[in-house]
Amino acid sequence: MQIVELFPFEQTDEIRQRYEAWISGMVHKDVADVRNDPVAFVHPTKPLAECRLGLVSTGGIHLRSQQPFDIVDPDGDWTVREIPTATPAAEIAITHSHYNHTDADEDINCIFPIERLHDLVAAGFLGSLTDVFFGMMGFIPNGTHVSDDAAPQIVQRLSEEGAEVVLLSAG
Amino acid sequence: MATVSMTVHPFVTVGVGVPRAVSMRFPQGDVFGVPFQAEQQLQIITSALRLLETAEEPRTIMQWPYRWRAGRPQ
Repeated sequence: MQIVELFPFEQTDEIRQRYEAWISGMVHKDVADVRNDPVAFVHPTKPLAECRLGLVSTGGIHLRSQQPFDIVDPDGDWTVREIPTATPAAEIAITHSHYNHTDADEDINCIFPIERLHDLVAAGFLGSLTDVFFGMMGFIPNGTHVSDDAAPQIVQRLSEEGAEVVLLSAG
Repeated sequence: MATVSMTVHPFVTVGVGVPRAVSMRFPQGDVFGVPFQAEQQLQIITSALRLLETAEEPRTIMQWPYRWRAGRPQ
């Protein structure tokens, strides 16, 4: 597999000002500006080929057998769904009204790469996967519901699952 | 736990602050690539995961070099 080289994203003052304008211009009620400051930073303690990986998505991912996310409530829905990593792709669904998930409805890997991550374990690139991955629906205007409620819940479960590295995707 | 994030809105990622992230110039629902293009999806994921090993400091954001254009990426 070809290695694709990434290049640095320029974090200019203009980019930062764009964020300030965006967050201050939110029209949703009960918006909370939640930032990571300072940003916690840890290095993996093992090579990736020995690491256990967890996946967290806010793309509205859930099992077809689970209650869908509430996409009507103006406050959003910060509940968490656990998706066993042995789940066939066809049993995974998306409930989210804030992005076009037509492609992901066909191939869940576009937004929730469960099959691709199994491929990477089989190829020896990753050590193992946690027994469950985590899905949320990312329309949550008040970020404190994530920082104070959902995120600690997920961190606790990732720790119980033995996750050493985590891939996060907003969807 | 070391984390790496995917983003299609890097200005938000910059504002919020993350340990490390990969910015994709893809639609929000296609952050890991084209449907059923497993090779591309694997390239994107491995590039992101390698950032776990190569990033030296917090707020490291790297850019996937290809754009999504006319319905499919270059």
